[in-house]
Amino acid sequence: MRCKYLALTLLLVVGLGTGCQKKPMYYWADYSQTNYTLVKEQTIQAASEHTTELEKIINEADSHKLAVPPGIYCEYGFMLMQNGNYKEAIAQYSLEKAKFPESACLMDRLIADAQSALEKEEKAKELEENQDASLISEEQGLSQDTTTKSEE
Amino acid sequence: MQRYFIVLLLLIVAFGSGCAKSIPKEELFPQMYTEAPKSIVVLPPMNITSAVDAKGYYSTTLAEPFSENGYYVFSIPVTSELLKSEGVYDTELLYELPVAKFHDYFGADAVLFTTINKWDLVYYVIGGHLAVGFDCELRSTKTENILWKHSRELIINLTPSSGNLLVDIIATAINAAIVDYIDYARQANYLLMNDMPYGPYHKEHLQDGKKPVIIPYQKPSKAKEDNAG
Repeated sequence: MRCKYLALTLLLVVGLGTGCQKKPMYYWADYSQTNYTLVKEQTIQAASEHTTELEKIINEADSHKLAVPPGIYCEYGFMLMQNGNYKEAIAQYSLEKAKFPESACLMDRLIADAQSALEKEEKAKELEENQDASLISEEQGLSQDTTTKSEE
Repeated sequence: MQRYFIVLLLLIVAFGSGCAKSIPKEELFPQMYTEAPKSIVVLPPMNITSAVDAKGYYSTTLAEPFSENGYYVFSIPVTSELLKSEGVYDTELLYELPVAKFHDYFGADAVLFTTINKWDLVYYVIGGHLAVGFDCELRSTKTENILWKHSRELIINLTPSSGNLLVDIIATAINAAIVDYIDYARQANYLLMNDMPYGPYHKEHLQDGKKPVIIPYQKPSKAKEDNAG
């Protein structure tokens, strides 16, 4: 009898206590911890650790039978964007948009930003190549058709 | 046997005494059901305490509870960077303004304002506590109405209890040095989320209206009493 009441009491405590801790829908890994370290320390190392954590969430969510949380692809894309990896950023933004249609409006905006950054970069590269080519051709005294070949 | 009855009763009283009354969710927050917002922009918290760093730290704990409650939450670090690039460094600047532009820019259904109104760390020789107070306000980008609001104050005990006085004094000193706000903020959030109606990604979306919300009995002077004692 004693045991029964003890068990009942325990169950009640557990029941009341777990009410607020439901089974998660998403795989978070150490997201809030690395994000916190980044906010606190503001270092390149903290940023790269947070990026690694985002990568980990994306790669390992499946194996935990949980979904990738909202905003993670977007945040990963944003980090890549800041590192100048525009192509991969666009890919991540598109994933966010596909998984969470609510994000479409913002993702279209961010994709457009990344696209224009990418085009700008390509143009700058082209210009640089052309300049290099024209410099070389001037040096060699051959100012004809070499510039057009460097477009590849 | 009677003793266990008493223990049981005491426990129920202990868990229940915090509450003054309970109201169904849909009665308390009807617009959460009529408007049924799907996506939330969480703005950087506003801070009216003297703990300068509380703001940045607290913002890192908000994504999980709101997402797990079934809402699409825009990445908080991305949101804050985008706001900065638009020249908005403080949420205080936005509070008095209409939030409709968050629908145009983000496509968001609602905007969450949070205010940290208490963050007091109190130490005594063999212990201490952290008193935390938060206000949350979810505002619709379509109607500008407040869809859900919540405020909570809680006291987190930092007192070590090894039973050995000397060990406790040392432990208190260590706790005081390394006290990491974030864990406490997380605890506070999970408590906070209990009364929020579920969002579209939750399986109980729009079906939890009859669930009662326990409105805690507010004791605003509690912390002060503690300080005095």
